[in-house]
Amino acid sequence: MRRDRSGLAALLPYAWLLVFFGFPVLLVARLSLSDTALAMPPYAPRIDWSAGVAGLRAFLAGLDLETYARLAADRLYLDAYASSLRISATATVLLLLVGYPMAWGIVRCRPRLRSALVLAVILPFWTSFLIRIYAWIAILKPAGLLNAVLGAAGLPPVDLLNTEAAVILGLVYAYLPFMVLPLYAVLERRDERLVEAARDLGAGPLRAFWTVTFPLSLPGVAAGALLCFIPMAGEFVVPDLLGGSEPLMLGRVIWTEFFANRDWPAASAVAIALLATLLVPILLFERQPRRVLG
Amino acid sequence: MDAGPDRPVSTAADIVRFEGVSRRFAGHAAVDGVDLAIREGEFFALLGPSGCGKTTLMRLLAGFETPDAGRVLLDGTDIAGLPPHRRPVCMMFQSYALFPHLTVAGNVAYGLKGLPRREAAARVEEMLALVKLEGLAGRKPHQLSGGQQQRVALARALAPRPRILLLDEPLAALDRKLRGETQGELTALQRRLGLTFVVVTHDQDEAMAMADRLAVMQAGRIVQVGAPRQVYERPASRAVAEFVGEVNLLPRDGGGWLAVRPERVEVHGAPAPGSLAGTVREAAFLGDRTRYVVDTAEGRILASRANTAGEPPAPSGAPVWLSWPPEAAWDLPA
Repeated sequence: MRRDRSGLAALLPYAWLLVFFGFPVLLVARLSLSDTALAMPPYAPRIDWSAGVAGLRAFLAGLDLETYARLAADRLYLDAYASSLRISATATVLLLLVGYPMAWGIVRCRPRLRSALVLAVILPFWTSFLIRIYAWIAILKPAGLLNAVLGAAGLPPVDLLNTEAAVILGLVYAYLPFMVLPLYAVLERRDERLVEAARDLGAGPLRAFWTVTFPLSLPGVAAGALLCFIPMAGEFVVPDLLGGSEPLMLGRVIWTEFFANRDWPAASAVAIALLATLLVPILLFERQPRRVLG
Repeated sequence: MDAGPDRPVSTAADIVRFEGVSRRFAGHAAVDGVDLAIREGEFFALLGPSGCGKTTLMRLLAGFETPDAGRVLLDGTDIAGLPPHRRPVCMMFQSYALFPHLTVAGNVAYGLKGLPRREAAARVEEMLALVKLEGLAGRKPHQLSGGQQQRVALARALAPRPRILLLDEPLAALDRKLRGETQGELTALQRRLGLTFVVVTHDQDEAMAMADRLAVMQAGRIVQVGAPRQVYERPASRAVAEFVGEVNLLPRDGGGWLAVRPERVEVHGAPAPGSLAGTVREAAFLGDRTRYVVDTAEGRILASRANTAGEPPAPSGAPVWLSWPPEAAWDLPA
């Protein structure tokens, strides 16, 4: 009796994934192989269930890779891809540079303060993501907070809003908890005796960190980088609010195709191509040896 | 009178001196005013129950702790200000603390950063040969058995050619059989290298089997220092006598005790001059010896007799007479 239930419990996440991830992806994949049509919904072909097998066959014959060919030929899409990946990668590197010292600093505090600081890292989640990104507009706009501070310090004003820099800044701000938490988790579990062993064998504090602590925290670095890089590549809100018309990122391409151009197949094809690209780092992460964590 | 050490003790100069060293943690003195000298080239053991401060004392020598009071001298110089990586002292950690992301060779080479590449490689090879691990250089620690990991830890700590090797409970993680073997190998290695070994252990058999001299620690203080035989045969206090082996304590008129080890108590089937009459309460046959618990007018006395041929053990309930050679008993203060 008990065993049956635990078997069901193990199946549950897979069922969840199938319903809320598998089916939607299949749906989008199918859309990406369709053509636009002046109809409602605006794509063709559709399955004619009344015709039975013949209808299914006609539907399959109507699917093609035309939309993908169009994407590959259009510089607009390729540029959006390139800038999406470039911006995500830049933001990921910056997140590591900011997040690692933060996680390290938190881990080094006494336990009481440590949990307070971890809470502080996730505290921004208590307020709306949208509101927090709007707040950055107030900070970055020409007559905003940043320029007021710069002016007070006697420095020339900067016009950051609607630039790539503003988008990267917003991404780093928005995704910082997703970088800090996995790093914190892996650093918190570190074995302090290994560092002592390194010190004992003649390594100064810096060398002990770079040759022992850091390599052993790499699984956390990889997890944090993936957790940030993947959603950032498809991010819509931050580039839309802080980036203006430039730079064009894939999230906004998908939105425009879907809602403005009503080209559902194109939007789907962009999404599927992005998904395929993002599978590469995930598969690389899966294949890395995990024994190190023991 | 004084029992000599069973091994010749080197007469070399002191390599380490602790002078009035104290180390407190949150008000509690883990090490409390310790004075101790360790001689160059000897195998020295710090023996004591867990929490007695022996590990803290070792960490003070390695540089992981700094004394709150007193001085730690290495070759006559105060090393208080030296961080662990500047001390010519290497440690074999209790759980070995091998670097899991490095190979066996990488672990052993870790302390050889200052050496030219070729020299370091030769040293790694030499060390792996020393601990008989040739051929395993490319393995990762998790691919090794516990005994092999212990050898890597030993090779890694010896590779930088330290002045002193510290061993924190070196045999604790090994199984019984391996422990006996490794114990012999460690002493042989120490003799061969002529290096000063300082071992921390809670196991008196281990300490006595390996060490040239040992210090018994209790509650942060050193209560006795001497050769194993000296400490065993003439413990300075009741606490030491009870910690190192078993002891019979017979109350003395006017306070204090007369102490005698169970293996020195003779068991006779008939009254002998000057013997103490008693009844066998328990006789446990232990193979090589028989252990008696005898009730006497002076209290309960333990006797441990070798089972030599032709001497049938006295059965439980039998009347017996106990005696011991006068030099086997000694006075202990109250």
